[in-house]
Amino acid sequence: MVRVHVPQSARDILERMQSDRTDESLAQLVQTGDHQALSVLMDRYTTKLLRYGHRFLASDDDISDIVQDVFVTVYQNIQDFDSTRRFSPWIYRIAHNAFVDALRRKTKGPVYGLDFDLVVPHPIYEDPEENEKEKEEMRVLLVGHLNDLPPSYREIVDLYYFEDFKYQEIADVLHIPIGTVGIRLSRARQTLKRSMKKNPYE
Amino acid sequence: MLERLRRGDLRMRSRTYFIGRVVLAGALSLFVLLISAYVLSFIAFSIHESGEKFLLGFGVRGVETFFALFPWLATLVDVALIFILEWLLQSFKFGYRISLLLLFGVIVVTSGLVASAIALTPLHMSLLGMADRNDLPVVGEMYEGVRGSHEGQGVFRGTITSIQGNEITITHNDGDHDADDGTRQIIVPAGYSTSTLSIGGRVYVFGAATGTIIQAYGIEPLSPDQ
Repeated sequence: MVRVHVPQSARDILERMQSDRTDESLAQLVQTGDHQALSVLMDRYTTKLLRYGHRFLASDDDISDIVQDVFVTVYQNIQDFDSTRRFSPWIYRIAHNAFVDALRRKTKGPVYGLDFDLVVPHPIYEDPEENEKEKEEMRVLLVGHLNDLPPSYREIVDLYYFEDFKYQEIADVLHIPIGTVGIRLSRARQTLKRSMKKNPYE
Repeated sequence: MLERLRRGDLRMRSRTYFIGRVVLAGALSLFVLLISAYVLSFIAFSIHESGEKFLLGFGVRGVETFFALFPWLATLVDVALIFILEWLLQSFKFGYRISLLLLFGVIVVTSGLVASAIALTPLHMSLLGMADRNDLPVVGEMYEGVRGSHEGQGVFRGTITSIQGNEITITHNDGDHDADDGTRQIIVPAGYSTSTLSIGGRVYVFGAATGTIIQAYGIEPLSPDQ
């Protein structure tokens, strides 16, 4: 058997090098004007943001357009990103705003009213000792029951279980108090348990 | 999108733009905080300087009149400023990471502390002096109201010209030739000792007027500049 050595182009090597980089270091490269780094970030986040968009909107076309707008906003505001922090909460904040704006335009009214959870202080719970196995079990349960949760809980549950965000990062994405994140997650779990008891075979 | 980038249709905003935005939001928040503290200190100054704080010691009627004469408009403005400040601060991490109620409390306490600091300065007395000389634009009317006449509510201020038994005579002339100028006979409340009063001293009187005779519910001496 003859082995043929195919020489890699400089572009392939560069792409492979960039795909090994963290989101934060890619964002730093984008800050210096590296468009290739932006392309890698877009590859990494397109599917995630499309899925996230389904928490707000139903139309795939609308979601896809908004995700494109999110990347435009990311590029325009990349100098505002602090590379000592995680990139994902930062891009999700932009996506959250874009989807909420789109939803507001569609419903022609406020998306969320004044929520009592935001007004009164709640004790800040530490992330519970939920190991990866328990989280995985929750994810399986949530796939069938996410829509049983009130809309204000769905996004938090999504960010916590499917995007692996910490409480503080969720607070930064949604601009809500950390205590509110804790209390809503706790209530979402209780609601889910009640829903499972009512319909155990779903 | 990458094609638009290559064509140069998309441009990233400079770091200076974002720093400028944060500085602007910070400066605006500080400005609103200072205005809020100024209004709060004015409310306290107005209640003290007008003598209306004495009404709280003049029974139920006094308390009712105190609330009737309370500077509600200034209070409303201050509450609106606090809500604006709360909205502005929610763009900062420390603003949205705590509950609205806690943030409101933090703002009120901070505003109160700054107002207390303002109260230690002669700012309001100087502005009142300027208002008296009709030399204070914009907020002049607000300060003129501090020494305004409230005879309709039974509030009288004046300088004692005579003390005879349970009757004192006061005269008031603030130079504006309005309804509160003139001489009044005051019948002091039962049990009230006039020994704390002296001719030439200024007094704050709350009572029921019949013509120029006032049956006082309460009398308190004022300082010469009140």
